[in-house]
Amino acid sequence: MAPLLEVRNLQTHFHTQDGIVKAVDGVSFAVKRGETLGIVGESGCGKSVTSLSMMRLIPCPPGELAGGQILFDGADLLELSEERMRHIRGNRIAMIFQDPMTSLNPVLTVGRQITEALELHLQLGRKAALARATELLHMVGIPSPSKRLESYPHQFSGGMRQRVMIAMAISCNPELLIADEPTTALDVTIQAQILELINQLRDELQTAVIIITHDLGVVAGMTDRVTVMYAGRVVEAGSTTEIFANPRMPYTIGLLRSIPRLDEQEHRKLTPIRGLPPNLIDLPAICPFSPRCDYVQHACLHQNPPLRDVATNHQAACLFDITIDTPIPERPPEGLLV
Amino acid sequence: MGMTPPYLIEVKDLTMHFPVTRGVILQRRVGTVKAVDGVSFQIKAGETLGLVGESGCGKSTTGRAILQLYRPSAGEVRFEGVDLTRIHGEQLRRMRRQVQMIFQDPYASLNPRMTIGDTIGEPIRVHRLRVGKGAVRERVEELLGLVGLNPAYANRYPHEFSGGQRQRIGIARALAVEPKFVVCDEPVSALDVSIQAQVVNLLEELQDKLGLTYLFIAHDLSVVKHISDRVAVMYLGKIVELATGVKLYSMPIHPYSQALLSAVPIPDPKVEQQRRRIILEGDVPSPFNPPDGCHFHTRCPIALEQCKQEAPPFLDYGDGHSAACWRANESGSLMPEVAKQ
Ligand SMILES: Nc1ncnc2c1ncn2[C@@H]1O[C@H](COP(=O)(O)OP(=O)(O)O)[C@@H](O)[C@H]1O
Ligand SMILES: Nc1ncnc2c1ncn2[C@@H]1O[C@H](COP(=O)(O)OP(=O)(O)O)[C@@H](O)[C@H]1O
Ligand SMILES: [Mg+2]
Ligand SMILES: [Mg+2]
Repeated sequence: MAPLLEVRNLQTHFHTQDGIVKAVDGVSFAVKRGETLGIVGESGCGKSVTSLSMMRLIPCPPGELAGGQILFDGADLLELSEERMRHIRGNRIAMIFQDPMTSLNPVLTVGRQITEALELHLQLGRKAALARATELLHMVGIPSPSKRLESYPHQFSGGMRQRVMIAMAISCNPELLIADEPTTALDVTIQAQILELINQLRDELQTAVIIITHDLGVVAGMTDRVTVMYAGRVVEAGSTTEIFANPRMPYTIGLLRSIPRLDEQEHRKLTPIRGLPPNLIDLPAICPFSPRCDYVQHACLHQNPPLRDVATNHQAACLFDITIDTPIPERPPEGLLV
Repeated sequence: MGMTPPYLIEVKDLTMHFPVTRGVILQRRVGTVKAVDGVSFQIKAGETLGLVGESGCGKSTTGRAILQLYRPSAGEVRFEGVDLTRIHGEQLRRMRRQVQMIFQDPYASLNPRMTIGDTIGEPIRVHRLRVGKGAVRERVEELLGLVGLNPAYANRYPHEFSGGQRQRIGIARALAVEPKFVVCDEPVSALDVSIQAQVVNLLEELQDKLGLTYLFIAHDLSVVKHISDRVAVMYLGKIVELATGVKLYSMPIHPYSQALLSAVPIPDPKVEQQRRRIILEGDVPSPFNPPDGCHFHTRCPIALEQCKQEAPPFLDYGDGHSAACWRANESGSLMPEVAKQ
């Protein structure tokens, strides 16, 4: 089956006073119908810019979709007219954000916001739209839905607002749902409710889901495949089971070693990743993780390692065959300052 | 005389109610937020007690009321046997030096116009812990080294630092007055995971080195369990369960603890495939008007009529594993059934 969405070598840049920020620098991934893809990485690595690029919502200027393709059901979204893109956005591709207030209109009732979209995209009449909106709020678990249609966004709690966002996002049965940190601002029991809801939608409607998060636990529980981003690039990709069982990029290995697990039976000292992610302006042509890498070698500073196949269904952007069992060297190789 | 009390901190029936007022000119009192509603626990010297629960359940207020940043509405807070709620003035000021707080957002608590050297040095001068410019400066540099920052950074301003570094500065400032007890209020919640681990490890090292006692507040249960000796679970102003982290994870008693634990994702797909989540209905009720009886009964899948009427007592079910639930003896077998459905 051909993927529903395929991003190829995407480049999204920002032109700033200090120089060009290559927020997304050659990112590729694909997602099929009914599948969930996770994109993980630390803040600033380019996750949100990637998702906004897919929706063509990058402000230009200062932003620029500088290269690559975003193939959605065969058509390159980067080539479409703004009018055709508007039709796809919200209709065939929907997005939910960490902060639902940014995409809800504070002066319109929730009901009006949902019916407006239904009238526009599905050409429903006023009455039919209202009935469908009630059904949608019910579907996402909002109590007394027909009454709540008359409420304004600020009259909902954080979790309920996120449900409203999801109701709006699925109102037109999108084929692709992009969820950018949908539960980061929520408490964990509410997070469980929202993630469960997204899973149900995927199963019932065969929606393709891209979930963007910094939480490896969410990735482990929700996704079929994972893309790990670092400094605007994909540094590891593959099936979720494979990546967690056999991580091959020292960055991914470092992330897994640095988080405590709820099910650990005894105290295991955490191994942090030292240092900070790089500035995305004028990145030199070296492995972007090398300044923080425990396994750095001279060769890491001679090129930016490409993604390579390291196992079936598994790519990593590391020149060496490092695994989670490779002991951390006592000291760096001769002549390397870290 | 001469006997050290077994606990460094003893909190008994701690209560913090905030008045809720309406009206701009004539403020009428229309009710009370029961932010902390009768909380009791003890912390041994050198121990870390974790405090978890969802936002608004009263964790920060508990920490602040212990440190007397809020004067509690009722209850006792004993520090080395002295009830802090009953002392005032100079005596309180002297005791306060021994109890400090680290915040989630150190940036908000650092003065942007002061060098970090001056910020850390100020309490040293005020409490006359070192006398003379040179001695203060030396101590500041020592503190910066202690938290893993370059002592030469003393002349820099807060905006020149990353989030993780600012948290280290916040820790150095809290330690400047040589406290025995530190309330860590969500100290790593705003940090990326790789940086989180740096700060967690630092707090553990400092505890070993300086013999510190912590109350560690966070909403991330994995982090709290990792760093704490025992963990208290809070819901709507009350502690519903208290146990060692491993006990709490392996045999939680309270239905809320069970739901909370089951909702925490574990970064391992094999484990996640096997897990059953207990999905709670609805939101946490408002502490302005908490439900009668057990506060949790409105969301509890196994609540009985009694739970709606009477608040359950907080009882020890063995080895200091305590919980407040009318169905404590059956909840362990009933709740997994709920999750299966
Ligand atoms: N409008 C903008 N102007 C300049 N730089 C930007 C802009 N938006 C994002 N960036 C930069 O792009 C990089 C990636 O940001 P983002 O995708 O938001 O990261 P995250 O992975 O946390 O979602 C960051 O370095 C950020 O500073
Ligand atoms: N100074 C205050 N005045 C009035 N209400 C307060 C005050 N501080 C906290 N509250 C209320 O008390 C409850 C508990 O808050 P808090 O202790 O901050 O919770 P947590 O730290 O667990 O998120 C909340 O409902 C909050 O709105
Ligand atoms: Mg983002
Ligand atoms: Mg708080």
